[in-house]
Amino acid sequence: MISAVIKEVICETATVKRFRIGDIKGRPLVKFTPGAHLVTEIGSSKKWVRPYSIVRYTRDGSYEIAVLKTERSRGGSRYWHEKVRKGDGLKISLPRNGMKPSFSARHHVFLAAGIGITPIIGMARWCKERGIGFELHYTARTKAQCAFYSHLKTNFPGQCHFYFTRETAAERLTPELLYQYRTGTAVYICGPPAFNHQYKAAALAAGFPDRAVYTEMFVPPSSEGRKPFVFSTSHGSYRAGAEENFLDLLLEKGFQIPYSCRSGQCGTCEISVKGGEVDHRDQFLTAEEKMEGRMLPCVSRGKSITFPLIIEL
Amino acid sequence: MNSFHFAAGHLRYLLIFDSKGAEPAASLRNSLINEGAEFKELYAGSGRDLKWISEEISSQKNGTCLYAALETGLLEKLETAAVCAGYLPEEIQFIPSGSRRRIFCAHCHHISITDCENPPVQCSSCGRYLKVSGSRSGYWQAYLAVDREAF
Amino acid sequence: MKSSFPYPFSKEQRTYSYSNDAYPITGKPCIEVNDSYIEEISYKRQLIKEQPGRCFRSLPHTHEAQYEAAKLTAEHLVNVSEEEFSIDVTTGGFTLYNSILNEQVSVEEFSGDALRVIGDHVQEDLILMTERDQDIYMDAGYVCFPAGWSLTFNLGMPFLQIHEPVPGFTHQGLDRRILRFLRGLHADTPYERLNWSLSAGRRLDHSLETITEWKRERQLVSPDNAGNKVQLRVERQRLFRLPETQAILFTIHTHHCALDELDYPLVEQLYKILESMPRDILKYKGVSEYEEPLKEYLERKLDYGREPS
Repeated sequence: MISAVIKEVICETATVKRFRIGDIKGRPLVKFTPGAHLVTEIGSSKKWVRPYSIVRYTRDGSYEIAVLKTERSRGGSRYWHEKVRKGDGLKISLPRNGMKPSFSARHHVFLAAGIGITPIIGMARWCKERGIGFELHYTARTKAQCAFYSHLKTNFPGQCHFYFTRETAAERLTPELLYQYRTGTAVYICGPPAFNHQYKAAALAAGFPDRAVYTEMFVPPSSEGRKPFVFSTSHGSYRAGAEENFLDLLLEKGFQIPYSCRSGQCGTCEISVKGGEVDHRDQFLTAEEKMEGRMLPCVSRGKSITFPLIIEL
Repeated sequence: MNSFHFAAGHLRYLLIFDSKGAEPAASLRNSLINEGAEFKELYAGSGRDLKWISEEISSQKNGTCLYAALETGLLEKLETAAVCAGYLPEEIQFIPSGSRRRIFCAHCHHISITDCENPPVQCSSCGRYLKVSGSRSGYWQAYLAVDREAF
Repeated sequence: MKSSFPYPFSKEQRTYSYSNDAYPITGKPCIEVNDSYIEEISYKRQLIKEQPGRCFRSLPHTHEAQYEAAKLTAEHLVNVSEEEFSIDVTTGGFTLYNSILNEQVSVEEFSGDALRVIGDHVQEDLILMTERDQDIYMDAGYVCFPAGWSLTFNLGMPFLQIHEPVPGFTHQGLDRRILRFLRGLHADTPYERLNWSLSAGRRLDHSLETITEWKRERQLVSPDNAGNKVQLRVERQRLFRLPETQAILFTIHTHHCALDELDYPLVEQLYKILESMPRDILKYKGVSEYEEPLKEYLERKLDYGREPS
C-alpha cells in the first residue's frame, strides 16, 4: 500500500464529495487505465477499507475519487463524509483493473445509476479521445443529486442521456434500450447491485455475448464484521472465534486442504458446503459457484453460532 | 474441423457458404430447423463478392452467430471483416470448404496454402514435410504444422 | 543441488497434482541474477541475433505496456544489485547502466521494442499478456527458452487456447479458474509458481522451431548415463500486474539440475511422483520416450532393483 494524503475535498452534490488524493512525498502517482479503482484505507488504524473508482488523474499526478454518503452505510462512507479533511493521511493500493474498456467493440454503451457514474467518466473520455462511438445513459433521482452533471454535459454533449426519476415529467431508463444495437457493441453497467443484476440479465437477453457485458461487484473487505461461528465436519463440530481464520482452523483439525495464496485469489483451497450460511469474502468464485455450495476458507467463513456450517471433507 | 456445432443461446444465426461448403451447411441447417432457431442463409457462389458479404456481416444486430463454410482465401478475408465489425470469437464458426488450408510452418514461420487431402504436406519455403495439427491461430489465420520427424 | 536451484516439490508431496499452485511473493523482484548471468545473456543474444523472428514478437497495442514492463524490470535489477545496476529516468525514457557487462542502454517510451531492449539484460524470458474483452491474450514476448512451444505461433492467442495441449488442464474447470486468477491479479501482490518437467540434456532452447534437434537426445538416455543426462528442468515463473497499463508481465527463469545432483530423499520423492503420473502427462512432460532407462536408473539409485540377500 502507498502512503497518501488528502489534497482537496470538493462538494459535488449534497450527498457526493470528491476527494483528491496525492502521494505523501509529492511524487506523481502512476496513471490509470479507464475503469480502474483503488482500495483505500482510512481512519484510526486504517479501519475503513473501501474500493473507489478513479474519476480523474490530475495534472500534478493525483487521483480523484467520489464518495456517496449512504444512509445504510456500515460506516465507511459516513467516515469519508464527516471526518476526512484536507491533509489527512491514508493508504491506497495501486490502481486495479476494474472494467477495462472493450478492445474490439466499435460502439460502447454506458449505463450508470447514481454514484455508479464514477468509473464511466474515464471510459467516456477514453472513447472520445480515440474517436470511438459511445453513448451514456445516466439515471439519478434529481438533477441536483446528479453527480458530475455539468461536467458530462459540457464534455460529452452529444452522447449523454439523463433520466431523472423524481423530477416532474420523469423519464425512465428501461432495458428495451438494449435491443437496438448492432454486433460489436459493448455495454457497461454501473450502479447498485439490483441495477447491475437487472441490466446484466437484460443485456444477455438482448443477445449481448457474455464478454461484451461489463459490471463490477465489490465485496466487503475481509477484515470487517467477522462473527464467531460453528462448523461441523465428519470428525465433529467446532467453534471459530471472530478473530480466527477458517482455513487455519481446518488445517489445525488435521484436514489436508491444499492452499496457496491465502487471500481469496487463487481458488486452491476451495471446499464444499452442505448446509448453513456462508459469509463469502472472496471475489474469485462466481455467484453460481457460491450457490452450488463452494467456498474459499482462506478468507470466507460462517455466519452463525446456532446454525452450523456443514462442511464435506 | 469439418463440421459445425450448433451454439445455443444466440438470438439468430447467419450461415454463409459456397458450393464446396454445402455439406456442412446442410447439416447445420437441419440443426437450426430442429432447434427452431431464427436464421438466414447467404450463398456465396459466383458473382457474390466479399464487399457484399462484409456489409451483410457488419449490419447484423447484436446476438447474431456467424457460420461460414468457404474456400480458404475468401474465408480469411471474411474473418478479418467479422473481427473489424467487433464479433467475438464465440460468435463465429468458420470451416474451410474444400481441402486447401493455410498452414503455419513451426520451423521457418512461412505460411503455405496447401492441399491437406494427402499427407504429408510440404512447407513451400523450407521444404520440410509437415504434420498439420488442429491448433489454429486467429492472428495468423493458419493451422500449426510441425516436422513429421518430431513425432 | 545448487542452492539457487528452485526445487519444485514440497516436503510432503508424493503424487502428481493438478491445481493452481501459485503463491504471493510481495516485495520480490520479477527477475533474479545468478552465476550463469553472463553465459545465459550471451546465449540469448546469440539466439536472437540468429533467429530474431522467433525470439521477439509484439503486437502494436503493447508499446506502452512494453515500456512499463521494461522500466519495472530495470528497477528490479537495481533493487537486486545496486553495485551492478543503476538507472537514470528522463522524460520519455530511461537509461540502464549494467556494470556486469560494462554496457549502457537507453529505452524510449514509444519505441515499440522496449521489451526487446531490456530482455538483453536479464536471464529470464519475458512475456506480456494483455486483457482484451475480458479475456487474457499473449501479445508480446522476448522468449529464447520456451519448453516446446512457439512464441511466434502463439502471438495474439488467448491464454486458454495456448494451454489446450496441456493434458489435464481443463480438469474440473482448472483452466477457467486459472484464467480468473490471472484476471484478478493485482499490482500490489505479484505471484510465483514453479513449473517442472524432465529433459534430456542441459540445452535451454527447447523451442518448437528446433524440436527435431533436441528431441533426438531423448533416444540417447540409458540407465548408465541418465544421472548425468536427464535434467530436472524447472521454470520459476513470476506474474506481475503492471499498474499503469494493467498488462501482466510474466517472467520465466529456467533452471536445470542433473538427477545425479539430487540427494536420496529427493530421488525417492521424484520416483514416487513419476509413478503417480498419468500417461498423457508423462508424454507431455517428455518422459515417456526414455521412461524405462530412467526408471532403471532411479531404482538402482534407490536400491529397489536389488534382490534381498
